[in-house]
Amino acid sequence: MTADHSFIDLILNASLLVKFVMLILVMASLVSWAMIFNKRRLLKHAKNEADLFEERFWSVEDLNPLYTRVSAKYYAPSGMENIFEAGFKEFARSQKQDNIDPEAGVDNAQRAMRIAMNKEVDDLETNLSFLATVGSTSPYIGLFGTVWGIMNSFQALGGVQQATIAMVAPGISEALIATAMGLFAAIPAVIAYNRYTYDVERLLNRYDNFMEEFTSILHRHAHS
Amino acid sequence: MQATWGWTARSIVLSILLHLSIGVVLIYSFDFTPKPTPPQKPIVNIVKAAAVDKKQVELELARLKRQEDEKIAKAIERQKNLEKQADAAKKRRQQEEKRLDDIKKQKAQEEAQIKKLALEKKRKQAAEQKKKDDERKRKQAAEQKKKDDERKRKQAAEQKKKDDERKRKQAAEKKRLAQEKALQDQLDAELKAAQQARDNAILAKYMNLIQNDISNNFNLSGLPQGLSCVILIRMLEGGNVVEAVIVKSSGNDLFDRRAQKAVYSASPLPVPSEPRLFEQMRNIRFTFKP
Repeated sequence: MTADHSFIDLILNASLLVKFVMLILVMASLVSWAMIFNKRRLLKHAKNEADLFEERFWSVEDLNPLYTRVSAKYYAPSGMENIFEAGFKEFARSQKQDNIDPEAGVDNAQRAMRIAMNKEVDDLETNLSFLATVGSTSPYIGLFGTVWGIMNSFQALGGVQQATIAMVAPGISEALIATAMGLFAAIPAVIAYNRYTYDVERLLNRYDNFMEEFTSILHRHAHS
Repeated sequence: MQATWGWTARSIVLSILLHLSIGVVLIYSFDFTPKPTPPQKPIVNIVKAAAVDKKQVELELARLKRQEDEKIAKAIERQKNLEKQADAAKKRRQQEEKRLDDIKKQKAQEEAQIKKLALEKKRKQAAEQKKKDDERKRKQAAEQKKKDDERKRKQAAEQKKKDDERKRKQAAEKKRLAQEKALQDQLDAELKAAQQARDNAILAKYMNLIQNDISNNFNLSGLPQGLSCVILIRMLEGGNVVEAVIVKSSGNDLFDRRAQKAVYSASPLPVPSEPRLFEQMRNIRFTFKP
């Protein structure tokens, strides 16, 4: 055993399986952090957009210009805009056909909006399950690496005549790095998962409310 | 879509940067291993030497040899002197020894004479002593004998007196014990008699009660007057009748059967609660006469 127990040495001295475990954990940590950053921006953006759109929606008298503006955007609308666009398009289409009951048009619009909202929620929730998986399994993976490392160090201990703590300690220290890495990957993932599910839930509530309000407006239009 | 991809790429880069920075921090923070201290230099003892001239050494050696020779010559002379002195001393000693021998012989003669005189004296003293001792022994023996006789006589008398006394006392004791015993026996007998009388009175009372009980249960109708029979009753504690047997018939079968029945129906019969008394009437035989 060398006297130098620097961090890199601890990793390099580990057995192949423990190295592999550590590699998996580092990858998991990397990916989950990338997702955390990505998701954070995405949710923030969706929230801002929803704020903005709601403000615009309630400030205009006539919805037609708003619709033209939304549909004229060069990229596909997202979030609340998307729901609004889907609903309004469907409503307008059904109103053009005279032989159709206005009530049925509202129903169609509502259905279209629900589909759009489901798609939005899907988009928002993608990758959240990965965070949950990392959060719940990486401690076990790290623990597995640790147990393996300790097993090996004890096996080596069995061969010597006089066992001292100095013989096992480096091996255990090496092995424990795997657990540390597992925890390091898991803790942020769990925190982020809880935080983001809450955020998505809130956005979903807002979409739902908006949908209801917009449907009542459409009802009014249909009967006027 | 473009914007989303840009975000994703930026997020990945951010994540990698974060991990790298953490890794660097960890590597540096783990590098604080204690440095080994350099070993101390050993202290060496240096031999000090000085150069000496060869000629001077030879001169010195010659001087030392000369001194040695002188010393040896002196020693030989001193030894010779000592030998002479020793011879003289030897002669003187021989003369002295001779003189001492003479004195010794003279002394031996004187001592022999003194010894002879002393022996004579001793013998005389011994004879005298023996005579005296014999006399004293004879006197002592006589005296001793007289004393012993006296003592024996006294002891015998005393012994006899004691024995008489003891015998008298024993007789008196015996007599007294006999008297006491007689008294005690008499007392016991009286007490016993009294007890017996009391018991008998109690038993008689109970017998009376039993007789009454049985009579109360006896059906007299259609029977001639003046009949009587003897019944043996065995009871348990508490007066429960175990068995009632007609020992001596009255001559009338109906009377006997009715008497037996009356005994059974009177059970439990009145009996004393004291076990000692009850034992006396566990089995009773009595003449039934209504």
